[in-house]
Amino acid sequence: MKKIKNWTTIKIIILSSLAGGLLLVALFGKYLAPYDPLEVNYALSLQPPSRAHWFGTDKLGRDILSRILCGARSSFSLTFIMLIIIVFVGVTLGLIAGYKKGMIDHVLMRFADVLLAFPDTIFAIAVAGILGAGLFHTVFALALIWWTKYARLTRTLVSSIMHQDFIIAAKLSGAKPFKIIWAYILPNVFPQILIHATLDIGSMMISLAGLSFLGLASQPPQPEWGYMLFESKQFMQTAPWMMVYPGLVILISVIIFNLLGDSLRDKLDPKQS
Amino acid sequence: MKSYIIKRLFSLIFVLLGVTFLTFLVTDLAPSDSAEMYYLSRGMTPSSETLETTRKEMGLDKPVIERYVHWLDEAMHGNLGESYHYGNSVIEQMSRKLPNTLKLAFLSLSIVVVISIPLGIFTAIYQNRAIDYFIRFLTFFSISIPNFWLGLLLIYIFSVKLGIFNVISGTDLKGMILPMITLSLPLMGSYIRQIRTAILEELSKDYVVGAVSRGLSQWDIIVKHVLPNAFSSIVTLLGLSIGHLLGGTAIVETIFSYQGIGSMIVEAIRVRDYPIIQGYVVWMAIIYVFVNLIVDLLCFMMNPKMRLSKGERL
Repeated sequence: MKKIKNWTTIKIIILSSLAGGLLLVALFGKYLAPYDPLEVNYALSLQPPSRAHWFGTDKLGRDILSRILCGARSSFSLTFIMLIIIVFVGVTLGLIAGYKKGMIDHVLMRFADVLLAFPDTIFAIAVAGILGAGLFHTVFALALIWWTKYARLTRTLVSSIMHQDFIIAAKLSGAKPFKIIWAYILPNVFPQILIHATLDIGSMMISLAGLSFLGLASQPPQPEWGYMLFESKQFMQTAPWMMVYPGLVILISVIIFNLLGDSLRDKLDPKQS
Repeated sequence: MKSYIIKRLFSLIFVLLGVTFLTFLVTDLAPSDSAEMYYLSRGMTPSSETLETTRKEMGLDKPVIERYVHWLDEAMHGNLGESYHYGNSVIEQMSRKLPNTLKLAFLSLSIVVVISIPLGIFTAIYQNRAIDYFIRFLTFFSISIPNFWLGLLLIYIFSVKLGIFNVISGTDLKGMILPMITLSLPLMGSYIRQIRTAILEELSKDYVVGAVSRGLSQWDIIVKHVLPNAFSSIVTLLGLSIGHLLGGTAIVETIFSYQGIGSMIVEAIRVRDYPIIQGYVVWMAIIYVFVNLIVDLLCFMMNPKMRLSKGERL
């Protein structure tokens, strides 16, 4: 058993450094890019991959590699902003619902039911579509649905520990509700939430990129991976490299975060895997 | 049983009201004006007086609640309004495109079920052997690949390079093959994984150990004992993925230019055709909620224990 545990730890270290590497690229991609991602040069239009342009160029002669490196910033920052909003809102409301019970709990959970009873992609497409294309609208649309998942998860986790002795002891000794939640409940529910959040990063990236692939999220000319795929569709016959590389980086990022989530689950919650 | 169904039908109405009202509210927040869109989508530029009168006619000067009640009243009588963009009624437009989407979604789901149930059982039986690792490795790719990219790659390989299929998919069986693969492949991965987990959980229970010690064959144990017990988790999974599938059709139909409501809604959003968007949301909600009602009833009939554990479901 010990061997397996060590292997999981090693896996987590490797995968988190890979994930960290991706985040570094997202932060400093601008400086790594060999060309200006926005520079238009019609003489270089639709060049296949070469030594000068490793991933080729698009219709306006912009370097694909540079656009991918700079696009990492918007793809990742959107995903993480959304994740933070969802987890924060969901966990806070879940904690309140699970701790207080009663009316608040009932109203919150019925509201979550309504939202959960609805296909998220469809709702996001509708909201983003109605409010008009834009990064903020897309994040808002997806966040509106996904916080419910964390609210329900947190609530279930909280209810499962509410009757344990240490909580009752804390209540008896006169600790304030905020203190009980912060010091006793949160540390107990946090690992589960971390696992779910890490596992969700991948699907969030795919959903966001999917919406911007439909032309609902990004404002050109700022590069973003999903939108680059959207642009590539009409040049499929003449410039397939335009669609291969942006998709490949999405795939690789999603795989890294999914693997990381899986290993975290193996480590923190062995009975679930 | 009866009281359960009545309760479920009530919650269904509640959900439909909630979803439609929410969409209404969002439409109200929209920066663009319905009256203006009505003219623009017909290629006219209205004067400010015409806009004012049209707004009055459309009832846009009234508060949201009042308009919602009016819309609801009309919807109850089977009138979801008229599309700005397509020029015909929303119901007509929907009923023309919906069958294609349902056909696509149903066939994709069938493929997923036919392939992933045997593979899920198989990987559970051969847990931690080479074949299990290999299939799980593949499922990992399948859940990580963005479906829109998969669709583009398939078009590039099979339509552009090999010329087997048309770039624009027809609604016949041949035209549906690539969209079906694009829709089903990402789902298959998560199905295989979850079925594997469900079967493994059953396999570790005492009754299986008992059956093994009684000398029953592995086949008998799986088919007669494990599968019926894992049935409810598999069917629940099916119900939940209907939403994923219907949402996925929007992206997949757009890539393949497939004539269904998925590509229609993306087009409608592009031209701000609010009545179509509303109608689409209502229909999707109805389909989704009904499928899940059927799923719950199926589970309920298969497993009377559900009656007790209904309260704390995640």
